[in-house]
Amino acid sequence: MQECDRIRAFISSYLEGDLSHEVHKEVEAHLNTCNKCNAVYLRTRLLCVQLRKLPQVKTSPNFETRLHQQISVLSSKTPTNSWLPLQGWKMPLMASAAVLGSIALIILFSQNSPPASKGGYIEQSGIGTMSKPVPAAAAGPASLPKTATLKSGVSPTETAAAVEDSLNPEQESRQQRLQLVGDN
Amino acid sequence: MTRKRNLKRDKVTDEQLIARFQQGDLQAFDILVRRYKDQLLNYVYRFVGNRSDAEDIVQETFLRVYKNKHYYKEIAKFSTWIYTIAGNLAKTELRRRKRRKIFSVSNFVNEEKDFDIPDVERSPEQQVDGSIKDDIIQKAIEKLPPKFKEVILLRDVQGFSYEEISQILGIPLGTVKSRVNRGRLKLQEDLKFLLETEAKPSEETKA
Repeated sequence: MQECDRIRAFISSYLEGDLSHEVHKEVEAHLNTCNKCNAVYLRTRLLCVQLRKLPQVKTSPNFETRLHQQISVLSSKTPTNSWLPLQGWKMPLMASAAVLGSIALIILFSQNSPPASKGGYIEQSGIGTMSKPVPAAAAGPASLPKTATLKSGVSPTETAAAVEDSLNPEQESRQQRLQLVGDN
Repeated sequence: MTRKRNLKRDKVTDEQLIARFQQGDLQAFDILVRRYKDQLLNYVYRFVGNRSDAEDIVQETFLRVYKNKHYYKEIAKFSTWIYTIAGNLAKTELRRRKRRKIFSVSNFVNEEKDFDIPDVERSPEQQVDGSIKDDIIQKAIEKLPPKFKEVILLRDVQGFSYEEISQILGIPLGTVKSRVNRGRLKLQEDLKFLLETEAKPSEETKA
């Protein structure tokens, strides 16, 4: 049986004349003596004929029309030509540059932005109590933690209290300035 | 066979056409579509066993060629490139079906009458007549594991050489030959009844 398995591994090559002379003779000799292997060989040969004779199917008549419609849809979905130069390695590079640029801008603004922006933030919070932005110098470092509380914005009550607190340094500094003017 | 016939008729080679298409000649693409649509459909249809799905896959194959035309390099034949795309899409479809477990008898009997289930009331001689015989062969092909099915279809139905199949599937030549032989042995076993019935008349004629 092992011999049969070994010979059957050569059946396709035997059919196609793809064996060396010695192996071809060996397979032939086995097929002449082994009925089972010979039957396998004959069926395989017939199978190949049948497979080649299988009927050919044809695409539907509107195949090309359908394909052209899909291509039109594809073309309309494709970004405008101005994006084409960004394809390939350029796209990730440009994206990275944009992200880095954004980070740089955020850092720059966070360093240079006056605490007046806090006033803006308060206005945006809907409290509407600060009609005039607080000058950076007037707000002073003491107001920073309160602003942080505002940003976390727990409740309107707390926010309102923080707004009131944030006004006090201004009032104080005005008083101080008035005092200074008075002193002068 | 169809492929070779087409090459003889159209003097412009596939590689020349894809080169023209890469330079923007849409007519060249249309010629390639006309040249390959039916033979690809035959390949994919035998692979997935459903005409409608097969046609969708062939459409998708051409769309991929259209979108990725610049990925084709003339180190390989255009036919091996497009058959690789179609084969991969067909295998993906089979995996998708397996995942969704949509294999059912209804798949084999669609409105286009792709297959007929053999009538058990008929005699064996009647069963092997005409299209029924083809349907039995088709079902046996479908039951083959994909790795055998693809090589059998490419070799015995589409008529590719072992070298071309090796390029299409990206597997060594020896593996292709081994799979073709094992696939054929499996098929002849599954189609034993049909093939023996088919062989009998010729033997009788000889006698």
